[in-house]
Amino acid sequence: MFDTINPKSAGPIHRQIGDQIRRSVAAGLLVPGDKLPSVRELASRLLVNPNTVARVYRDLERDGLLETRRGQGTYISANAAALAESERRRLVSENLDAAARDVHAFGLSEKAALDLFREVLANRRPQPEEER
Amino acid sequence: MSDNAYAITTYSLSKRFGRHKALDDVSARVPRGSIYGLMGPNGAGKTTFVRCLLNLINPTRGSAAVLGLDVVRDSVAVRQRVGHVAALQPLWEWMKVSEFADFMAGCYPRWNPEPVSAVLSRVGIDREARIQTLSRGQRALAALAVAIGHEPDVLLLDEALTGLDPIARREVLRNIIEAMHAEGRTVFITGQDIADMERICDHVGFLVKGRLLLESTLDELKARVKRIRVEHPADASPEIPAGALQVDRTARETIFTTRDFSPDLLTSLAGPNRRLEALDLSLEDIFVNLAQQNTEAAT
Amino acid sequence: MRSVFLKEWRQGRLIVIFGLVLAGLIPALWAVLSTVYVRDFRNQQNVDLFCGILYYIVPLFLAVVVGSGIFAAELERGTLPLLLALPFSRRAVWLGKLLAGLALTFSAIVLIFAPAVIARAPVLEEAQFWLLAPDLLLWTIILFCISFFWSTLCASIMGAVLATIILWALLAIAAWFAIGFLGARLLGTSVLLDAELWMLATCPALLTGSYVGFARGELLQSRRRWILPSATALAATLVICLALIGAIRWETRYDRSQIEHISWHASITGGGSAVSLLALAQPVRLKRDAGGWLGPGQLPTHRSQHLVLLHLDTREELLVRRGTGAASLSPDGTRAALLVKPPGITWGSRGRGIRRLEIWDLSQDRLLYRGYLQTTAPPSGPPGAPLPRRSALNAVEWSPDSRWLTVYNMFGDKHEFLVMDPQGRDLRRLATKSLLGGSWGWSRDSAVYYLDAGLRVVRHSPVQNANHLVCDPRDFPEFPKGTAPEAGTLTVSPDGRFLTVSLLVRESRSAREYRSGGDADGDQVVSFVLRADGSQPQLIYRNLLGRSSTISNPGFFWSPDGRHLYFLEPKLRNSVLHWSAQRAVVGRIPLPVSLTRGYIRLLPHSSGLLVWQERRAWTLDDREQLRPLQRDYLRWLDISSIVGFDAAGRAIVPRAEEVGHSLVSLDLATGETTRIYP
Repeated sequence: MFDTINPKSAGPIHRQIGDQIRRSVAAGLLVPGDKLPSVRELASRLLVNPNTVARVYRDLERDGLLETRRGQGTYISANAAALAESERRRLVSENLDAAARDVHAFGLSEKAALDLFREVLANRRPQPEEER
Repeated sequence: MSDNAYAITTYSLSKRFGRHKALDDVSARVPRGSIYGLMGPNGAGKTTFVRCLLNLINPTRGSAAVLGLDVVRDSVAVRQRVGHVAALQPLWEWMKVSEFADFMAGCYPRWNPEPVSAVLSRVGIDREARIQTLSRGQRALAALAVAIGHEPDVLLLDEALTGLDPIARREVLRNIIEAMHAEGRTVFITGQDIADMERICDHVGFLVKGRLLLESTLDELKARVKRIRVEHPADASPEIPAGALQVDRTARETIFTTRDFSPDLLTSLAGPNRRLEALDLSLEDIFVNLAQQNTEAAT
Repeated sequence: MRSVFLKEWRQGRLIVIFGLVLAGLIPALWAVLSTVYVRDFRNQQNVDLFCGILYYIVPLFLAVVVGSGIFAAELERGTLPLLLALPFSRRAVWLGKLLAGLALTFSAIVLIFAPAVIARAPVLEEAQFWLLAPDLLLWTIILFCISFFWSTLCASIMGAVLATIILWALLAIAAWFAIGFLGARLLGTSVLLDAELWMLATCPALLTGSYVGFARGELLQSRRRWILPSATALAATLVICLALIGAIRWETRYDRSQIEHISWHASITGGGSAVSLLALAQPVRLKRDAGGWLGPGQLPTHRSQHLVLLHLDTREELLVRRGTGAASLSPDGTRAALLVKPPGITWGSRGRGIRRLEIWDLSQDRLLYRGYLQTTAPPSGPPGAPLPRRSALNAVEWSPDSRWLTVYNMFGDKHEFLVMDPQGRDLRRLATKSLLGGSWGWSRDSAVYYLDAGLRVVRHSPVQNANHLVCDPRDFPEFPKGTAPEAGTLTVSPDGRFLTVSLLVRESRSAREYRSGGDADGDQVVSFVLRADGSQPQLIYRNLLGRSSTISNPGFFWSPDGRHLYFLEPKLRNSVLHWSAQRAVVGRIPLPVSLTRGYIRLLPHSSGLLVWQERRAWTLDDREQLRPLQRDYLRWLDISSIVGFDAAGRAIVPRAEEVGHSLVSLDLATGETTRIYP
């Protein structure tokens, strides 16, 4: 489920892990009640500092995505579903922000940019069943 | 934090070999429970530093304390609480792995064979194999396995990843992380492979030519050292703050690295027809930037 | 430390196995060679020698290899940081390695020898194992310590082995030289001390040096790591050696109450007021020869030997010195001249006769003069006396007025004697030619009469430093014709009125060639008595030498008043010859027994003689009356062992005690004895 962490990529590692979890929640890959690996397990799998993983879990718990059940581990919280929507929005708007920066930098017009976005979305649309 | 919160503290530690200064006034602090990475190029003095902590060599000046114990006066007590793995350290070739473990078991007052066996079996090392038949990676793992048998509070890993193939390196990293299960165990690791160390370290120190250039938590470092990109009209280049590194100027673009990033910096650079961007740097980039600056400043 | 020891032990298993292999190999080799190779007795000896050498060399080799490898192996293979990172103090690591090294070496050696010893293999006997075993042990320890020391300093095993061999050779040379020469000088003895034991003394020093080098807290990699351990080892060696020397000096200190053995290399001096003797200052167990008790004259050279000058009246020591020698007290009792054998090595045969002359002022305990002489001197006492105690050292004579000394010296091939004052300032060298005995004497007015190189009688006055030719024996009317004097001896009567001159003359070629008329008189020994001014020479003895006869000089005994002269013919010893100043003739006194193994000696305070043969003795007075001496003391007294007579006329003799001997004064007339020394 988790991609490997790329330390060379510029973002801090804890943000990378956090983002991955948020993405999974946003995409519905992780639903409330799913058990996350223990800190140690995840750290070992990703080859990162357990403190980092612990911090991610703490932050996400603070944000309401996760909950720790005493003696049992860390789970996706029931609230996650509710937060999922806002997560989705947040993640997409982050990407859009990056695209918007380029649009301004390259001097594309707003209209051209929106047309471009529509095109890209169309390409991404999942293919209909009759294509099989 | 009081000194007791630190697993390792050095006070102006210096070591000379003849006229060569291997360590020059190094004052480092390694908090308990952290994974601290001391990075630097070849010959920077990392191994000398570790050897001073173990009292394999005596410092010329200054002192050091591990878990509150002076490394010279209480060196035996220090070594009882510290596990040590060194890069490519020759082991006693004629011993079997089990003999080596048994020998070590006899040297320490406390010994727990479980983590040792766990590591050995996890990586598939035959206990009855003679050390001389092991590959380089297997030796490193065997040494690591045995080093945690006496439940050390501090693990000193001197270039534990150097010279290993990528698979072995990952295995070592994994086992280091597994070894962190004990609460408050501190790991001190030195090396040149900054990318790998970036994964697991939460504190870093840069050692170049015997001097500690910098010591910080990784997060803080990454938050403070950023690359700023300013797009501006030609002939309107912005003023670069003092202390900026790696300055690249073209007609319409100025890029530089700053060591003290803050939102105020961006505000100060903002202007009409300007676009600003703050880019995160990898630890390797940060290190190279800072080390180079140090060399330039020195010349 | 135990863990380190065990680990070292396991690491060195191979050595022990090697030892086991050799245990069987060497005897097998010996057996094989003996049967296959040996054809006769000589070859068997070679085989024995070869196997013996193997038995000797292999343990030493093992000691070096084990010792060298202890640290150097870790250094060479780079495992030293691993060892030092263990929670042990450096001292514990060092100790563990030392003990393991010793254990490995000795167990390997025991394994090599055990089967052969248990089975009493003949190869051991032939190889003289039992004789050499203590030496072997010693050398093993020494070599192990040397290689252990180098192991901490050298970065490779081969380097340590090489350094061990070099240092071992250097130590052997240094020990032999330093101990033999320096050590003996410091201890004041001429006994060469056992060099191997002193090398053993360097072992703690080497171990200390290696400990210092290892425990200093470095990784044994710097180039200057040699300095401190080597300096420590050297300093420790010095300290140990000095301590040993101090201990030996204390052990051999002069303690009169501990003396058991004295020698009869003793002499009465100072006109009978003192005796110079040698004593062993500490009780020493001497080997008894097959005959029973050791004779007092056979005192062995021992490091606790002291020279003692003892005053006979007060029985106090006037002077005590370490070593061998003889002391001569001046007649006025204020000064003593010592001829001592210098401590340390004397090189070769030329060095054997070297003596040191020291003149001491006894009242102020001050050294007045020190010089060196070569004395293969004529024996002391009456010239020609066949003393069983050849005291070549006692060749110093004081003048009667105590202001001058004569000393014999051999200068190259020349014989000379020195006349000197006690400060050594006025030194005169007077050449002489003596082969048969002393050729000079003091007269009562402190002038020296002597035979010069030309065998003429010369009188030397020390005060004026003037020589005055007295006479030339060739001018004597009774001098043998056609002969030339070759050597001679001279004595002076106690009152200085008469001289005796004995000459060995040989037929001169000119006489042989120009023989006309009468024959030349041929080779012979002739003796004359003459007045001190050279007048009235009288031939009193002549002995023609045939082809097979040996040259011997009659020994002359002057009575204390100078009026009677006694002597024995060398061959006809059944009578004593007597010349008296009054009658100027030579009389013959027959003896009841032929003195084949006996002799005569002067009795003090009379003009008589003591004649003895084994346990029988007679006194002979100046009226030529022979009376047998029947005394109880003859049962224990060996008259030939009489050292001399003191001023009161009592004989000073050694007497056997339960252990050793003591010196007693014996009144020959009454038999009363008094113990003098110790």
